[in-house]
Amino acid sequence: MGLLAKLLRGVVNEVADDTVRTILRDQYIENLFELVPVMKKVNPINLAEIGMRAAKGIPVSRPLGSHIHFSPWEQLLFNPVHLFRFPTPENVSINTSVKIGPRAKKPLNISIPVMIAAMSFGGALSKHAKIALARAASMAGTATNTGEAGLLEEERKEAQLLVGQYNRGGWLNSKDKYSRLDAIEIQLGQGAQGSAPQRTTAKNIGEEYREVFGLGKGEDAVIHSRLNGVNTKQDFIERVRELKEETGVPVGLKIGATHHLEKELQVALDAGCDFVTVDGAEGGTHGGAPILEDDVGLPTIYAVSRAAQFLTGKGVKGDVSLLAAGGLVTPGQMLKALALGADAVYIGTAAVLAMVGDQIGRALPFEPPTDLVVYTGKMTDHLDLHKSAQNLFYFLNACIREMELVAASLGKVSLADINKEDLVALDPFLAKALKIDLGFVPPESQDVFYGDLARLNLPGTQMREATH
Amino acid sequence: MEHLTNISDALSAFHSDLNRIQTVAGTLAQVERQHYDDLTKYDDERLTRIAVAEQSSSRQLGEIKQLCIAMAQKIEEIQQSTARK
Repeated sequence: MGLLAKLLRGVVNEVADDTVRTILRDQYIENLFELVPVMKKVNPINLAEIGMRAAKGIPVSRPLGSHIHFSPWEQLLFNPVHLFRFPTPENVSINTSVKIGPRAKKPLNISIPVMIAAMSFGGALSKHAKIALARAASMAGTATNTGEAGLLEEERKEAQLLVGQYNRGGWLNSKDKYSRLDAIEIQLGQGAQGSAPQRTTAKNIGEEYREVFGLGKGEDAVIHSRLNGVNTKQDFIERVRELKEETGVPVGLKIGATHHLEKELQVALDAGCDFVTVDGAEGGTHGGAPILEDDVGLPTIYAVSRAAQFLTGKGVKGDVSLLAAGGLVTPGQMLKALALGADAVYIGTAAVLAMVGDQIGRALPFEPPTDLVVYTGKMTDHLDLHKSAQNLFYFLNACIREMELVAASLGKVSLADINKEDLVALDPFLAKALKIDLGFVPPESQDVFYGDLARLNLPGTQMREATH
Repeated sequence: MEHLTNISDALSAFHSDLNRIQTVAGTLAQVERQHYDDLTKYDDERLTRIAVAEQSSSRQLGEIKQLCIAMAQKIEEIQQSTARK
């Protein structure tokens, strides 16, 4: 060991001894350790956001949505088969393709049931990031989504399949733009923002952003809480019919999931929507007020299940496609959403993180990882476009391969064939709500179990009996 | 009547072509799958990358096969409906 190393070791040893001594002896009033119980009480995220609010007096803009795991995906497991039904032989291909909006004149066909979620150029991501997302989607045979933006020519060029958001800012709502899309998603809300208005101030809007959005110099980009000209259900119904007639592509509705879900979906059905997108409370965003992310909406797992049950009840499951979004980050979660009734899922946060991948080191330690991809980031020029597209393509491929392995283990030959009967729940309430068997007891004993549970008269069991 | 015969002949030709495309897509999908299996045996990073591209191509060919089957079925329905008229 060299002299310098010995010296350094001695200094570190002294500092560590002194720190431990201080922490263990000093009273809280003069002890840095006070931060530990404070952090535990308010948690580190809330502590930081209290500081941010106090510093500026305006709502905090938190990227990538809520950190709270509302949907208990880990309480669901798939049921492999071995003998009573056999697994799929490994030389049999698993079909992964999906047709979105089968009733439309020109349905959207995708090779895999995973699409890139709505993340806008300018409002959220840089041009390079949008191009990389589109390129990766095309490589995987799936679609990407414009988000609430105008039509970015480079994105249109890269994307074989582009879902465009007819949006509350009005930036894609002219025929010359929406007639160039492969599907139209009318955006009335999102999981991370509800239907709240949003504003990007002019100082954060560059020349290209202005051009794509059709904004004047000094003009803010405003997302209104309502779609321009849609103030009644009938207005919405007429707008959908116009878009369907004019384009022939699937026209759908996107909403942030809510307890009013069924009422909202009924209007979508009345309008003849070809698909509906439900974005759960865990949905991501470029930056949203924490109250909208953490305290508003309905978790994705319940939203998907309720939407699927509603469409089935109305006899339109299979005719009206169901797209699920919001906090789906693992292939297991994605496949469970499909099993609950979604025809395809959107991924946003996971796609961005996959795209950045091992480039994360370029931003660290002085900037957050998202700085490489967000429009206002200082390091967007450091994002390697080719590598980003490759990273995301590999991620998508790996996710689908994992899903195929589960499908084979379930004895299925298509991801679309996987359904609720392939799942078991580990929580009685969840099992009842999602109409899935409870894993504690055999299928034929489910009713007996719930009956016995009710007779035990344990706290909460009256409610179980009522729901039973 | 001649017009209907022309349509009927065209539909038969489309049906036959779609069956051919479907068969080719299915065969190529199988070949791509086999390539994936072969290339991943070597545990080589560059070969694995090629294998992943093959695997994705296999899925997209599988999609084409499904589309062809659906279109061929639709044509059969149209042919049957035309024959009844």
